[in-house]
Amino acid sequence: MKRLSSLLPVLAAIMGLANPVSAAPPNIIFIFSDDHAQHAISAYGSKVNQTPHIDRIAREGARFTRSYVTNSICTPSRATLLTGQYSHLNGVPVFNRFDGSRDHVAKRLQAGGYHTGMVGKWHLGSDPTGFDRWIVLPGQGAYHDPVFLVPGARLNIKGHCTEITTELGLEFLKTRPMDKPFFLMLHQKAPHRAWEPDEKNKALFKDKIIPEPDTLWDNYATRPGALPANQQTVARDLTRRDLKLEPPADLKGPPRMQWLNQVPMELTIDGKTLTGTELIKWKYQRYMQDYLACVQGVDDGVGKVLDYLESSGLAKNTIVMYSADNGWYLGDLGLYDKRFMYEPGLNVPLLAKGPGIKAGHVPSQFVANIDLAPTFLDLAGLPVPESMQGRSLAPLLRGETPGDWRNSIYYRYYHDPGHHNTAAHLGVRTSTHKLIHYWKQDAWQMFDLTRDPAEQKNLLFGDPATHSPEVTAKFNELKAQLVKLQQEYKDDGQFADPASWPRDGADGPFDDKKPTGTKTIVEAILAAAPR
Amino acid sequence: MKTALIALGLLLLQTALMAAESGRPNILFLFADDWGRFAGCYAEGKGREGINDVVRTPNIDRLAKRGVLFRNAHVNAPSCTPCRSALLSGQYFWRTGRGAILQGAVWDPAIPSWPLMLRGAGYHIGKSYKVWGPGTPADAPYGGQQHAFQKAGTRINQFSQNVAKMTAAGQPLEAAKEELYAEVRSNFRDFLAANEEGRPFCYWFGPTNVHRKWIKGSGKKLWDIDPDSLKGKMPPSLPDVAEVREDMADYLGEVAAWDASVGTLLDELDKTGQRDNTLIVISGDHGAPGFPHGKCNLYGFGTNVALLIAGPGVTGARIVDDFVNLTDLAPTFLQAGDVPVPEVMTGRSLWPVLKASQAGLVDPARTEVFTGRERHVENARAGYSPYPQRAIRTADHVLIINFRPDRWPLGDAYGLADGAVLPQEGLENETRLTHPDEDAGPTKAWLVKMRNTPEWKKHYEWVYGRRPKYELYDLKADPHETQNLAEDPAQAALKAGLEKRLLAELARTGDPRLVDDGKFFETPPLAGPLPAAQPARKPDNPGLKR
Repeated sequence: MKRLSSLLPVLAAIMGLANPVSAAPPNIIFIFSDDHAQHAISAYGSKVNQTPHIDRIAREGARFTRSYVTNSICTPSRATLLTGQYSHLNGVPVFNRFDGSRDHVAKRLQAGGYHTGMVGKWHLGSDPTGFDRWIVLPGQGAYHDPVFLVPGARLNIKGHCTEITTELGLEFLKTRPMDKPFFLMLHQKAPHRAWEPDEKNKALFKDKIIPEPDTLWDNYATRPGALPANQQTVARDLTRRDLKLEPPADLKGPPRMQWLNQVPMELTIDGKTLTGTELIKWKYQRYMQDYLACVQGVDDGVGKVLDYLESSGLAKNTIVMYSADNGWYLGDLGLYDKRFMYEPGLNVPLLAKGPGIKAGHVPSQFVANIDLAPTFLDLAGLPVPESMQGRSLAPLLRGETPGDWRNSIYYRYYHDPGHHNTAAHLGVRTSTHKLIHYWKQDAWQMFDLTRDPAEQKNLLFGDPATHSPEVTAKFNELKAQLVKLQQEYKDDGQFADPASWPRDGADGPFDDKKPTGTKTIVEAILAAAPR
Repeated sequence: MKTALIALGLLLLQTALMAAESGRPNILFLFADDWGRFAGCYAEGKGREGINDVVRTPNIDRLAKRGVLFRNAHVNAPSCTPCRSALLSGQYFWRTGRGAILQGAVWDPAIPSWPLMLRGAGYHIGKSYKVWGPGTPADAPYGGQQHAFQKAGTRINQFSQNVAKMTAAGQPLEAAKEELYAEVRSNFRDFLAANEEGRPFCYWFGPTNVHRKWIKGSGKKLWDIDPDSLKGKMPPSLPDVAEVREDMADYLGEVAAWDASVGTLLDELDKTGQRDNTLIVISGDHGAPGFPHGKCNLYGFGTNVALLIAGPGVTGARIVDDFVNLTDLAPTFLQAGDVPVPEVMTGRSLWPVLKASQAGLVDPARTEVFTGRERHVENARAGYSPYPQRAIRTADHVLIINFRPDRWPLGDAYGLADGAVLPQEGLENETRLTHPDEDAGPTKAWLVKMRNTPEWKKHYEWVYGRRPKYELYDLKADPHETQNLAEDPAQAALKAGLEKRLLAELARTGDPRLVDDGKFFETPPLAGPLPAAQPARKPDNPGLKR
């Protein structure tokens, strides 16, 4: 029996996920958004918005409920997406430049006969490698009339970034070599801060009242240290720019910037002066209206892509996956932003539909962004290299339940000192518990997620002598598990010390790219091919 | 007294100059996208009924009565950009470097174009809508957008869509149409108003509404063109079924809108009092789009276009059978503007024909025309390769050489293996889904859908399938080019003679297709994935061997 079960993965690999009907390798479109919270998707039970198009993927395919990131910020997450490796192995622990000469999934797909494309937010500093055509935002990029980088040049496109990115993706599909399978990474900038939606969606959310999360007023009791010290709170850290307050007309240059970067603690809105709780409530609404309007733009784009795949007949042999680069706090724990490994920051959406994927399937296995690169390769019928630390999700997409699947996830965040004063931490999440270690302070937090899913009660708070034997035992068990996971994933603290972080940044400069003026979508995709 | 004399002298001089200036006619060039030879004035009467008995073009027909109507005008290439590269340069498209293809075209500014030469000679030039494209930079041979006059609106370019939108919002049909013509009129007025110094003008009117897409059923709804009236009148390459007849009626609806906008401009011209000093030329850039054997084919249905010319010095009210290549318009326009014709132009001036008084064949040397094609949609075939063809056409025959018969003429049959079904919506709207050199539309969708039925399998293969290297048709016996005689031993001498003439003309004019097995057209940047726009490059200067 044991021998048979050990053979199962081999058999699965031989059969491949690719549907038995057609031998042609499937096309893959990976739609990625920036900072899209899992709980801002109606298929995941959002209480704040509706995402009809992303929901289509869930309905026609699989929706992962335990989908996590291994380092909840943009650039490291994107390096992990490409390499299938944790930050400490792929060399991108913080906002540093990815070394494009490394092995990664797009190179392997390209070598395996795929026509590969990268469109939208890249944020890895170096030029994309392994892509037949690429057109990416410089660094974070802009929402309005964005600049894009292409091989050897930069260009401008008029309009809103979300819509432009979708259109570029569609143009890529229309102009691809039709005799090859394709792999398209369609990466939206939205809904990243400072949440600047297009006019249509902005109007849609302008007067919406968004329900507040239960933990908006979290006082961080039992969780001293990192949380009280953080600078990503709705109450104290949203700037005038975030809140879309209009600077006085006569302010120009640096004083204008300064004004925009300030955090208002008293505001007069419609003749009424707001302070304290009232002001925080108003800030929450303002922030969420724009954030959700940006999400709506992303969902619209997913709809356009799905419609195109349907009408073109591509849908039957194309796998569409949707995910986001990290989690996000919708006012949960009083926060916006990501970084912290509490549930809203650790969870990410992950949905997939296409040939061979069971409709309406809801896998509950622990999966993470290290699994995406191996999944793409496996779906394409290509071998997954040993160097990738994740595991193909293809069996889960088929509806199988491999007996040897992981039952916990290892996390590590390095960017300290960094934005928002988020203390460096690492941890493990199991199906019932979470252990977080703020290693620089040597502070520990542990939560029983079955009883306390909102992570309000740190079981390790107070004198260890007062802890119940069960808590102490669990603590010891999870600490041991952490050590085991670190060994398994070869994390020996390579980047624990900020002095060890690679120096070059992910935000340019991009001086080697010469400006070539304003382009149309068609012209821009033309420029996306290497010269 | 002395000053008065000088003043009088100056006045006389000025009058003389004005008179000299009025000697150079204005040019009004009305050029429709994807408009083949469809106008009422081309109807051939009883026994030879065709589409032209159904199409309604009263304004164009009226002009035909006072101008020269050319029956045998052909484009050099039945694809927008190369057709226009040839038209604007006055040279065969294969001499225009990267202007010889559609997707990926780049204009070489070293190639002389007649509009810019007229501008250099003092003409006030302007354009509305499409002149040269798709390609980089758009409309380059007309000076890009610096001479664009389209501020009043561009809605004419989606005529049926915009009229449908307006009528859905409650506007009466005729008022909706008028609103679009008013934009056309205003743009022309703006152009005329910008001519402050009273210079002769040259205006290019290039609406794109005749190009797909259009609203299904709009031919009947907007123009009362009954699809059933096309029964038995369409060429054999078009299945005579309801879906195709409706599609053709919709196309003819857009042609009717084109005719109405032509009427608007001609009325406007009359109002300026300049009619008698304006050379009016009306034509289109190739055959009907998304109809088998039309656009992208070297059959007559693909290359034969309307051509009407009227104006000062033109002996009107004639129907002429001379063979014309639209490259001939370049020297014709230049001569009208007293501009010397550059040696590199392969087109021949039409003035001898325009000035003559006889009908039928006027110039005994105008008995043949040369056409061809390289790449249209870039990813129409694996490897982004072209479908190279050249043809010689006379009154009696056409010989087509398909240089790469291993390739699919309208593009690969993507997604059609093993009886696969493509969605109707995609086939009607997404040209690149399959056979990408055939524009998406109801006709293509119908034929693709029926391709495996016993009734239509052969038809589908005939119009979209691979073709032999040589095609020879006897146009007198078989005007619709259905019976290929190329392998008929009885035609061997005829075929050899035509091939010799064709190859001689290609060699004389430096066609790169004959060099190194067509390497110029088979390698990047003319083949292969589209490169980013870069400075234009021409093949080694194809000099004229006269």
